[in-house]
Amino acid sequence: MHIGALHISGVNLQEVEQKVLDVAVNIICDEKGKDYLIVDDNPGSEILVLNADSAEGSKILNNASENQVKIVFSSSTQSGKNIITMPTPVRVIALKNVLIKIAEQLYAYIISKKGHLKAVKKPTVLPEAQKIENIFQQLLQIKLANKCSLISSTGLPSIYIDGVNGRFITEKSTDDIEKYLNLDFNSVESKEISYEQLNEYSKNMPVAALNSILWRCALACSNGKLLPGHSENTPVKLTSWPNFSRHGFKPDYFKLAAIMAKQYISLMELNRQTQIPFKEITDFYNAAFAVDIIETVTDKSKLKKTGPIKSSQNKSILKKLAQRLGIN
Amino acid sequence: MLQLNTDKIIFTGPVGAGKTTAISSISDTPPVSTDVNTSGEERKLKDSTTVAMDYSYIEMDDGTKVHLYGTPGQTRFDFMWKILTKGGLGLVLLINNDHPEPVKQMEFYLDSFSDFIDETGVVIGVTRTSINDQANIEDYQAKLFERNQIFPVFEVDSRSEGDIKVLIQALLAILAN
Repeated sequence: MHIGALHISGVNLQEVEQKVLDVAVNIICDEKGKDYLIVDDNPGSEILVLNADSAEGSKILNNASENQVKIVFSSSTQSGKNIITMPTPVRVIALKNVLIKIAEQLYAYIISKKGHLKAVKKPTVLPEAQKIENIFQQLLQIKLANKCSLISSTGLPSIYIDGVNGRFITEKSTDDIEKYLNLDFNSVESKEISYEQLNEYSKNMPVAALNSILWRCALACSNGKLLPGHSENTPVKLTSWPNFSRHGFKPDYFKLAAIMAKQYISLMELNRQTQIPFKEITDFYNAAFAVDIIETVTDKSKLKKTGPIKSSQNKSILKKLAQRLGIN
Repeated sequence: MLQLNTDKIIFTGPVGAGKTTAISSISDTPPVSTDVNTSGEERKLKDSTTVAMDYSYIEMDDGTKVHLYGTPGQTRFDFMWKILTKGGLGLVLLINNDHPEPVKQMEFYLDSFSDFIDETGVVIGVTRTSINDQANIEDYQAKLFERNQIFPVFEVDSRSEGDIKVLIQALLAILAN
């Protein structure tokens, strides 16, 4: 095994699927370094990506090593050791998220086994020993662990979480989550279930994007408290803007997003520069982290990067326009 | 003369993306449009289209105005784009998700207005997502990420004042910070 990089091979993929894989890997390598994942044709690569809907694909899957991680594009769930099924059609962003999680886990494993000191970004899961305090942390934990779970509490509609494909499934309406927001969390039960069970139990139920629910829960449950294991002194940056038109927002979030999208900055520094209350900053950060748009600095030279300094000559008219539209 | 108005926000995007409607959603008066009947392929998208520009404004409490210009959607009128953007505050790019290749459309407009965007800022509104979900917001963001660009991308209904205000609010945040 090449310690410096993980190797990944696409096998029996359709043309579009191969492109999706290539783009996802390119995005990851832009973010983490060009050698973070190396695409090659070696069927013995640590990560195998294949389409198992054909006889040929099915045969390849059966012959693959148990120790390889197999990402299987398929319309039906494939079971077996180290197999992750992604329903077709697979989207770039979904594949990218799955690949990042797998790569982080594999690198952590390699480092622990080989004592290799190469600096890699640590997996961003919540510490296992940390007590889950609210529904937000519970959902995030399931997502980061790539698991499926059934969440229930006496008298409340059950909810199903598909942490692999980022789906939130509920008996009645996605607003069911509201009922869990202010509960004594000791009364909530979370039970891991298989992907097959999830699909069987949740047939014909309303589905929502898990990220959308996580955003909502983060704002409702964070109460100014940073996620366990995160620091207000770590420089962070947004990798994209939150989808404010469909997610809840407060006016200050636009300012936070504008600043965090152009530079690495710690939450403490944000608070100092903007005078926005730390609670708002923390709630926004937790929500942004939960929907995968936070990047922490790994290369310190990036800290010097800042966006272009905007001319202040238009500030007066911008302020007046914001007031006029009632959006300041 | 339109070049003389500098406190202006430019709305651009392909035919049928909802530029005229978006301007109507937040302006004080219905936009003055220079529409003509469409023909050929464009006719499938809408009955009439803007050939020169849309214009309206928002009047501030002190009587000053922020002018809103919509560019013509058809690329054969792209000579108007540079004229309209001259001295503008920022760009609102609307993309019709019902187009066969909406992400490519976004790239085309970002490239076409790159100088103006570099000088000011851009926000991207994706319309008609309820009609066609062939691309979702993550697909647009992934493409931006690939291009090393971080711009706000929101799902919007151009008829919704609230949605268009979200776009403007993000644009103002970018311009002010």
